[in-house]
Amino acid sequence: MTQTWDINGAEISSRLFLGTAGYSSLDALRQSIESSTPGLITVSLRRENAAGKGQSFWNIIKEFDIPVLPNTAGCYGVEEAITTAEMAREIFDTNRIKLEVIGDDYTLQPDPYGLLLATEKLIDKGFEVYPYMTDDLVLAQRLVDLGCNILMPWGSPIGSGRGLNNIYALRQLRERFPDKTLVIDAGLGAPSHAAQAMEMGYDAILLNTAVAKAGDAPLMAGAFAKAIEAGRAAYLSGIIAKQEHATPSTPLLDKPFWHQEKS
Amino acid sequence: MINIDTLNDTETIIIDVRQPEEIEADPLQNKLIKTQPINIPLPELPDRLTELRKDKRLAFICAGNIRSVQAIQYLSEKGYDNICVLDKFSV
Repeated sequence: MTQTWDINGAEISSRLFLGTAGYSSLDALRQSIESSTPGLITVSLRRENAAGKGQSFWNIIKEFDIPVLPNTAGCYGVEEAITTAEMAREIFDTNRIKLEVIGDDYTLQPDPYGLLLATEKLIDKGFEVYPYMTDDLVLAQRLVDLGCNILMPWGSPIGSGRGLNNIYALRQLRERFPDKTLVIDAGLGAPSHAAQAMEMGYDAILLNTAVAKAGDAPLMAGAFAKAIEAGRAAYLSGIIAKQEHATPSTPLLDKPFWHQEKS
Repeated sequence: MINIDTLNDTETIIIDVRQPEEIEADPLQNKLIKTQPINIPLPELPDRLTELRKDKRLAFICAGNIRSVQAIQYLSEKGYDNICVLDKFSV
């Protein structure tokens, strides 16, 4: 079932994107990457440069031949996010940037106004922006108008494990932007949340806390990978519509198929 | 703003301005933090100024650095000058 897919011209091997923050150990991080083989690995420049982890963290990232998606985690101002993105481009030699501009400290909700300003400036500077956003339809349209081909709405607040808080809004995004790459980013807790999003037609899932803080991170990473594949397969298969009443799975009772009239 | 690896724990008091339930869900865990941070939720800060010493450096931490900035803005108006934000994203 695992097939490569295309994201803005780059061939990606998995629909799971894995964050690298908050693991109990570097070994747990390494094993989680091994067990889930993510398509992209996200890295917070600020966190990993500052946390005293030294070279060992970067060595693990280099071990795997997986593209890195740098992020601007922890930025709550436009200029700060732009500076972080420019530093990331130099270090990782990639124009990709997962853009986070945080607007509220209690929910870590992205700031829609700051996000638009930063997106516009970064696209002008040649970045391929992966905007971390709320599930707001108008904001999504504005980001697309600015040139975003990828949108990353939250499922729920970062690290909350609540799953998909607003199914209606997320369905609207999928329906209204059928040609854009949509990635659920943040708030998932259980693999079933990821499967649910993939069954709705989302293109990929970005995870961090749900794996990093699980009792057994590598096991959970593998579980998410399977759920994402299952959800994608279900979406492609065509899920039956819900109905109010039962429909017999064997509609022609007492009449074997070899006695049925051919139409 | 300071990073955790530049924190000198013996000279700095860490004030965590998150709500208790946030701290319970996401406790500060870093080997560079050797003394227990003091929890003063941001809304309680005006009523708990007597707990904040002016002869020590005070480093404020929260979830996304926004409340910490608000805390030091408030305290600078109250005459505190040895205060800073401890970058949560460095912990």
